[in-house]
Amino acid sequence: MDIFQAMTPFLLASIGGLYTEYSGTTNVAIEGYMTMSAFLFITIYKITGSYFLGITLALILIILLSFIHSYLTVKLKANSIITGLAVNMGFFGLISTIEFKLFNTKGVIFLERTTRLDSSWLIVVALILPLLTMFIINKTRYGLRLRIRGISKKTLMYSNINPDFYRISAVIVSGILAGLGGIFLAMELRSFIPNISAGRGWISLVIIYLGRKHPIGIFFGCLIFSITQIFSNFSQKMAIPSDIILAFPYILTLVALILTSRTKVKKDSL
Amino acid sequence: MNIIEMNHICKYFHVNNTQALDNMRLSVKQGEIHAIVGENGAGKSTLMKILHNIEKCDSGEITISGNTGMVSQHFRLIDELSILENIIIGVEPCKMGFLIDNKQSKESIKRILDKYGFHLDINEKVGNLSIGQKQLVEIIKIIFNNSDILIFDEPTSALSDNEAHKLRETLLSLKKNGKTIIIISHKIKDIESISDRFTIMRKGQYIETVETKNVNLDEISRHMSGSDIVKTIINTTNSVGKVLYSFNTKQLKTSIHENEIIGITGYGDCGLHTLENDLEEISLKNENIGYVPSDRLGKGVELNSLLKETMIAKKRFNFSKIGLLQTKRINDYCNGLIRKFNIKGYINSITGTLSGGNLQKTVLARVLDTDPEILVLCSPTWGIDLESSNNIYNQIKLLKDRNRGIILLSSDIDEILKLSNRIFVMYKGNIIKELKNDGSASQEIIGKFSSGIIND
Repeated sequence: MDIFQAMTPFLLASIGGLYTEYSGTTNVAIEGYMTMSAFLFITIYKITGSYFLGITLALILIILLSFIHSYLTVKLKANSIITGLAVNMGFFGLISTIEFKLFNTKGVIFLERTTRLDSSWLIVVALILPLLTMFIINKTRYGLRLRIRGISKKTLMYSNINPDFYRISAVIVSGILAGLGGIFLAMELRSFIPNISAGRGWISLVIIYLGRKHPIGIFFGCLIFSITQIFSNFSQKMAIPSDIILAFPYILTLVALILTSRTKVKKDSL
Repeated sequence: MNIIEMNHICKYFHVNNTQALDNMRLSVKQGEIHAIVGENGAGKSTLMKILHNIEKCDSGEITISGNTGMVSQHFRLIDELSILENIIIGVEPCKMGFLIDNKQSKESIKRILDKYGFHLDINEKVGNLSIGQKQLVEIIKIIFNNSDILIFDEPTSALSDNEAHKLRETLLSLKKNGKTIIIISHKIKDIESISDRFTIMRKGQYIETVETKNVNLDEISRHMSGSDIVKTIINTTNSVGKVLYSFNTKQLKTSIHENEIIGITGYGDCGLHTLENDLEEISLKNENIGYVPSDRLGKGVELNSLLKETMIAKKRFNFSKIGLLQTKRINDYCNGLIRKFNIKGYINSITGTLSGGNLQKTVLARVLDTDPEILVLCSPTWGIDLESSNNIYNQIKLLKDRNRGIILLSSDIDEILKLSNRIFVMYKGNIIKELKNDGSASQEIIGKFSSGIIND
């Protein structure tokens, strides 16, 4: 169970990011969305005391935020990397401001000791997500058009389809899924701490490339990163420094990327 | 009955400060083939984009009774997807509103293929198809879309003569099945052989609409440019000078002489493309060989940079002092080129906003200005109107008269016959015949060789 628990936030965030990759852009704000939704969930839960309300309201707000983020990026033709970074930084600023206003702290928000939050359903969601995504991408109308959006905007335009819808919706999907990942982390800890996602959003971006932008590849990417994470926790008892174990998946990604780009060159020269 | 009525259409482009359409009008009858003619940059494509609702007009009224479908000059197909997937984009038959119904799509496409007698394996990837086949896929796509009005933007410019002939027949059979067709074309042949009526545009304005059968060919070209075109005539039987360079590639083993044009032609995938790649490599290694690529959008220019940057791309070092570009000298030089080659554009406009003919003139201007001893010229006039083509031919003539050698690669046999001293015909990757262009060579003979028939 441990391994699945470790995989869940990675899977949610990276499969979400995969949708934006299909639409032809990269959502670099995944980290921000994870942290933001963890914060929103804990805050709303603390205020209302309702588990259901916490999740729904947090997700609705995330949808709103990701809509604004993507709408402005698409309509103003801004660079998506820059706006993504701005969203990341903006979210962290926003969180500490609201936190200070509401709870008079810039640190950890605890829930009651006795609170029990059921997060197991999110693990199930995360595990079926790769297969579900494959189905959506290959078999549905939305999936086909999303893929086409990533390759050629003009093709959609000439078929009188609004191409912007597919990019905006992809960012919203990735916001929701990254948000669920953040909510999962908050549930596990039963509290919000600043930097709760601890780079998992960034790692998810790496996983997308390690998995060669394929849902099953991403599943194994998540597996590798989760295993190394668990190993590094044990490694304190062993002779190997935990840093080396943690660095292993990055080295693997680097090798994978170099190998992929080499095969691409070969294909082109034919 | 008129299926399309467009009135008082105006469109202004801020990027390059031009009034693309100025009080333009157009009416098309149900079930006719209506051609739109005019020079490059007359606003034909813009008008069609407005009709197909891809671009909005600033003002004007449009009444359309039917669906439109458009095949643009540069195809919008996706190489990575199958023919089937490419065709259904936009009108995917679905189960429960979101699940793509492949079975139903296949049946519908089969019906279209049978009805019009097309042959295609719809599971094949589009990337593997030839240009002619890709165009067929585009046509099936708009029929599948249930379009009543089919718009074609220069459909024959990228096709070989054979394929163009097939396309014209397809268009006629579409008309027989009740479709209304609008076609933009520079080729007089397209207009005279299939269109019922045509509308002439000049500088974004409506000139007139004419019944095709009431006019003759020369009149069409005169109507298009607003003036009689002085045809450039090039002597193809002159005596040549000394050897300039001997080519020894896998396919081409010959010498080019002073004052000579060698024309190389062939149908479809006959190897012109590989030959072009080989010649490009040679030209990169040799300063005296200039090269004008056939893929002018991809290799010739950078669409997002300024026109003056495109013009000095190859000789930017001449315009720099201690590593800084000298703006004034660049501007003077580029304005000079624009005047000399009659390019319709400004030095500070974005290259991509120029029309195809002006882009080609830009590429040619850049290469000719280096005054190469030998010029490799690939499909110099595809997609370019008559006046610009003549302009380009004139430049070629001037270059030749200065004792230069020119290698011309083109699938346009007319062009080859008009310019070349010697003609090489390619078939299945090899040059199978060399001819002297002294009156004995003709369309038919070259056509035969291009199909691989030598002994006759």
